[in-house]
Amino acid sequence: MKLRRAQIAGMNQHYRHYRYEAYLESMCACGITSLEMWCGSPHFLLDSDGYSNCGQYRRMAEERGLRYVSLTSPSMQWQYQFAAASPEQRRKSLRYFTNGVHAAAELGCKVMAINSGWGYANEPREDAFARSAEMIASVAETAKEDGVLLALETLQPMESNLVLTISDAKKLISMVNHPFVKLMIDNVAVGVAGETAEQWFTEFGNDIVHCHFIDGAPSGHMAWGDGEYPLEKTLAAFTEHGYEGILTAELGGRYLNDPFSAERRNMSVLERFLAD
Amino acid sequence: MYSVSKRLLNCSVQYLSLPFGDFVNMQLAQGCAAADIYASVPHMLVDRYDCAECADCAGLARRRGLRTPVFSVKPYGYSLFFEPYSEFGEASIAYYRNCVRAARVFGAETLCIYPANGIWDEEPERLRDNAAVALRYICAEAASLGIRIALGTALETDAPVLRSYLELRRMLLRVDSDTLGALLDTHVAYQAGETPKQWMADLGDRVFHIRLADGRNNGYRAWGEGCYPLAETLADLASSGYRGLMTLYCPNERYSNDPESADRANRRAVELAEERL
Repeated sequence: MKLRRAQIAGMNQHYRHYRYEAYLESMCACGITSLEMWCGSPHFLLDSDGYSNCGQYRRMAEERGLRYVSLTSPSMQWQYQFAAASPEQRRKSLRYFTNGVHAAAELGCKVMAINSGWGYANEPREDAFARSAEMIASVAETAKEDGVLLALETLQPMESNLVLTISDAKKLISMVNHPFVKLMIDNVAVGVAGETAEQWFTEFGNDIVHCHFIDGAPSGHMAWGDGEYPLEKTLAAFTEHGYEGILTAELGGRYLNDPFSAERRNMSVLERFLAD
Repeated sequence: MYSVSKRLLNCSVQYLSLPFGDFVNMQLAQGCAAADIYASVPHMLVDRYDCAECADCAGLARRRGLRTPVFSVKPYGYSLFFEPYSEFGEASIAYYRNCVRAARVFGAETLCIYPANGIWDEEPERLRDNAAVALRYICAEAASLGIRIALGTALETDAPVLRSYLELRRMLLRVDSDTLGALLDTHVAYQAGETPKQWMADLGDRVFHIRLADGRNNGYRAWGEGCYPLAETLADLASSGYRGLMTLYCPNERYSNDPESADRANRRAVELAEERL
């Protein structure tokens, strides 16, 4: 049950109290070689009309022996989401996520993580599902042109009222029906829904192309060891199904003040399962 | 006779799971003639480019008879602390200037800014310099449109500077604009170990707006569910000479399923406490 080091990716989300260079140095210090770009402030500016200079970010990574493997266009930090309702919010959200695909391609990423977005609490859920499916399908056309796979993750009930479970994900994937829209496991969302990675692989098999791989209790986006999930058993589901994709350490807000030690502790736990 | 209860506004920050029109209707159903508008999606999109969506929401509130004298900004990923002429700094200043324009669209007199998104590995004095530059740009826009800016202090989790009323006073002096005053948020103040009495004694008529909020170490609460002394808070505000409005500010997911009931309970708690004074 061994992983390759390059399968473990670091993510800059919980370094947002620090400069981007500090994050890159932390990756090197922890022996992490793969990066998931979280397009959030103050590191990488992505919005409806443009995005930061990807060449500059690639150079900063390559100078340190790092490479980008995936990208997240955050839908909590900014004004944009896939199930936006008003015409203006839909127009700008579509441009935002389309720009996210372009940025992913320019950084050399093969995968962009997405979610369903969310609807109003007092509207028919089907309406929000339809809006989400329509926008994901539109972004997927750009993803196809740029050679980037969109990987749909589930969210927690406190984050969304749309895609929270395997059956929700099946429904949205079926509505979108696009070869460049695949799935990803977010351990915490999966655990909060009372599901397991094993169930996800049984349901979706090779269509799982990415993972946010963290501990939780059941929520929390924690470093491995800080939560309650069984690491070896969870990893076994990935290796037994021949998963060759990325496992990103998407650590949460509890580590904002000291992301460096959280990263070290997380990686020291995962080191036991690395082949190289 | 001084009455806190007659100065209270509810805020749309608790109603973001519902359409803006529902928020307006629920305010009117509670007998509220005015409200504090929290500029956030899905109600309205304000970004660094424009505030075009605000016109529809402002028109809706106006047609239904809800006044909107106070406008509150959601920080998103923007910050006063970024280098003003960097990519993020320019985007942030442009965003806050659009928020000023959006406040004008709503006919608001006061725009509330919470200083979020600090940087911990930057020199604190550099952060203060950056904020002063950004605030001068924002205040110039506000002065031209007749809007006052109420600047708050930050929780220790959100910025390494501007976390006390003393620091805020120094920032007001540094920016030196009649347009810029203080936003007293009782949750932020109590978390910093400060009291409304200290704020009012030190900043006096430079306090442009008050957010009246209970809270705990993990966030805002409706009054009665947190850890702060309501009766003492009300008494201190009553004796301070403050004559402005106060927002019952309570951004917390626990109230998002039924924000109207939370608002009613929150307001009732303040009214009862004031009756007992």
